[in-house]
Amino acid sequence: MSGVEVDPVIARHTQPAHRWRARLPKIFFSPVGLVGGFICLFWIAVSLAAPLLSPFGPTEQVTPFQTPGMIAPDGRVFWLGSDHLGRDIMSRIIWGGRRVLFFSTIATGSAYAVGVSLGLVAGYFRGWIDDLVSSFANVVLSFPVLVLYVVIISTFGASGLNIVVAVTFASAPGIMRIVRGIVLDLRSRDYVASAQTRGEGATYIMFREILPNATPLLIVDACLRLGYTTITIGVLGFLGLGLPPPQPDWGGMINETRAMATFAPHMTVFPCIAISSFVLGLNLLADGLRESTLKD
Amino acid sequence: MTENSHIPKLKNWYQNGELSRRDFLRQSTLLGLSATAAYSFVGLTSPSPAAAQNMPMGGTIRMGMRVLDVSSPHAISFEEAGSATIRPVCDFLVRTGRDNITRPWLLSSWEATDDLRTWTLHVREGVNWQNGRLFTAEDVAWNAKHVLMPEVGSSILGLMGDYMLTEVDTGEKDGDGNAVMRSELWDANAIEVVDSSTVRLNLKNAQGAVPEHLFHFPFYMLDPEEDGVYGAGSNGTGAFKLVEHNIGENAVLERVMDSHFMGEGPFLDRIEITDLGEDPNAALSALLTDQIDGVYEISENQAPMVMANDSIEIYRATTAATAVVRGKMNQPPFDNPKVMEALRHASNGETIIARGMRDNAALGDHTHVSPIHPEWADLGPFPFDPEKAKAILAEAGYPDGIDLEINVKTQPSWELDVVQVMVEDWAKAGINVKIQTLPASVFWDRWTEYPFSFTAWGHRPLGMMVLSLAYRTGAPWNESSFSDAEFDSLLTDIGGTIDPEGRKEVMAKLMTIMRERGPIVQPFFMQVATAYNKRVKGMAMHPTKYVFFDLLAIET
Repeated sequence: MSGVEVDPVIARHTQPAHRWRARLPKIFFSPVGLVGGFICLFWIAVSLAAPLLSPFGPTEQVTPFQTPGMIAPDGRVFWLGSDHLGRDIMSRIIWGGRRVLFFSTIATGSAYAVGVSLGLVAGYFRGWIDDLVSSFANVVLSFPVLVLYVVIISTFGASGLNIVVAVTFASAPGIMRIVRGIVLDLRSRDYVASAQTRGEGATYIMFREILPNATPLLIVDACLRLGYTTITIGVLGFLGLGLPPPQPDWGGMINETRAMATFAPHMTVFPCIAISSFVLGLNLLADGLRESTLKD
Repeated sequence: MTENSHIPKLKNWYQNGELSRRDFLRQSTLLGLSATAAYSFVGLTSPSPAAAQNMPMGGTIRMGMRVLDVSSPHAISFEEAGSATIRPVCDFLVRTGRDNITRPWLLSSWEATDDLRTWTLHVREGVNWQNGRLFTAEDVAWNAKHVLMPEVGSSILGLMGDYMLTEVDTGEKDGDGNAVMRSELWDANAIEVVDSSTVRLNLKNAQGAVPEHLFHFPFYMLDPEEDGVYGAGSNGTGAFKLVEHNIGENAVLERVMDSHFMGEGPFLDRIEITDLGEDPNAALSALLTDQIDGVYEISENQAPMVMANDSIEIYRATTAATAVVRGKMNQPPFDNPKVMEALRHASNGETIIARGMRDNAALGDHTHVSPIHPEWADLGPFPFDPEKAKAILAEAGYPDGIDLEINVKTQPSWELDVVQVMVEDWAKAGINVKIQTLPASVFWDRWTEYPFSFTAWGHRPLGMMVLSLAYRTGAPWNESSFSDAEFDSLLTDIGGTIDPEGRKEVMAKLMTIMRERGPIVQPFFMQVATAYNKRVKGMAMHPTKYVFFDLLAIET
């Protein structure tokens, strides 16, 4: 052997075939995460393209109780059948996905905005602020989540805004506790001390020094919570407390048709598959992200 | 007892073909002719319940029904709770049968003067309260006075207030300087105890349907010693005693009489009611899995599941029950009657029935008076015309359409189905309606307050009864706050009109007002249905959905 020996690991990463792989996010190396991501992207794409993909309007009433594959009087096809009011189930699932994804993302985002802010403040300042915020969170967390949702929605009425408020109120304390725990660990790190020495303010340190370092853990939790919120919106719809009709949402579609499930199962089964697949996708994506985080 | 002078006229009209058999039976029995005699006159036999000798004795029936607060029975507005926990204990004075004929119950008979302003009620002799005390005319008079007290808040005021009450000035002024008025009996002698078994009602105005008003569901005979308050252990004249009552959970009633004063029944030993919540699917699941023996009501969405089970029987009744979309007429935009008129023209009854009711309903004409009501007048169909609706809206000041929000209960599910079909129709006329769903318990707490809502109404044997209950000025159940002097005056007139043609003439005017400037959209009348295990005997669906447990038996 002649010349300088090259470290095989370095050699692998300097080869052209591996340079682009090194630049890929780590999630691409997790098959579980890839499958989850693909499912989520599928639903996002379907929701965004709803006006192009759906053969019928989401509330258009044509012919009731059509089984999958039957033809409407004007020649359009009920690919997944129609419901008891004559609305095309596939179109409603597509449009419903748009609604579910929008409100679950907004609700989860809102819960995160509140939970992260409170967690940062409680963990960074500690003392009486921490006691106050933590006590309030403990009180809220002592109630069963579903009961909280039902009480809030029953009192203020079913609407997208109220669902966002209910999810924020019920989920933010849990997020706050996670963030607070991470902040308690990170606030003693050198880079935080360095920033303090530089004379940076508390807001800068919390949002520019601590939060970015907590993000990988929070992204995993956010994926899982997005799934919970989707299920929550579905459950509220199932209980008749979800997004108001006639615009579709998956849980509401199940609730409206479940009494007829024995003789027209297609009306219930397809919305169930939609919810299950999207939540499964989010969970797989979260698993993939967790794997990636552990490899770091 | 002398026969009312109107009865020979009714017989004459019937024989000349001017009065239908159904109308003759109903009106002659209301005026005091016995059901047996009335049926005999038309060549029929009065229908009777299942023969007692064929009914099994003893046993427990398990029902899935709501168990609600019934502490003030004269004020309840939720019939199911009364059927479950009050009616087995506290009887009515009369019972109107499935054939729309009113028969005496705690009364033995009644008679009316020719001017229909004095009604003499004869109390059935030998009826005792469960504590052994004799049921007397004093008890009837106390209950009649109590139910008519405005502070009790009974819906009976809508029916009887017009001919039993008057408004008096209290001498006080409200914040705007207007006189504060109070309702009281129109005459100190309006409810008169003649002797221990006779009560006389002296009416302010003529009224021919007094016995039917006594069948309105809050008119229970309560023990005066309990001062109108009801609960576990309360006294009654019925065959059962309420021994356990846990709101929202369960109730238990036990038989306390070996034989009923009417001779047949009771057959059951015990009634167990379980409150399975608002979701009718929970009750249906319990029925299908044999955890209960019967439910209060099923919807057409549920019927196929029931029909697939051989051990369950469905009972149906054609009724004047319906549901109305109503606007609050004292609030904008509904203070302009043209808005509701436009909504009526924009509602396609045929589509609503086909999709929302699965064809289990009959077409209505937005008057809340059904073709099965004897005084119904045929005004012709009310066509679906979205273009006309648009024009009316433009006249009302909404040339670009209007945005509204309707409040609807989530259960029973057919209500939301119907509203969704209507919302699609209304959109064609530029009426964009957002649906606000509410749990039934929340809805019923404020059902008379919403600006725009969808309300189910039960069956009443007469059109004028429902118009009095729901649309007379100031009536407790006037959810739309509709107030029309001509309408009120016509309602008073029709109560005292016996002549069938004259009655239809007045009703035609009332119905025309409802169509032209009324507060509702009412496109259909529905069938009602319930389901019981075939072990239960003696069941028949009453159009009002009242359940009479004293007529039921169960095979053990």
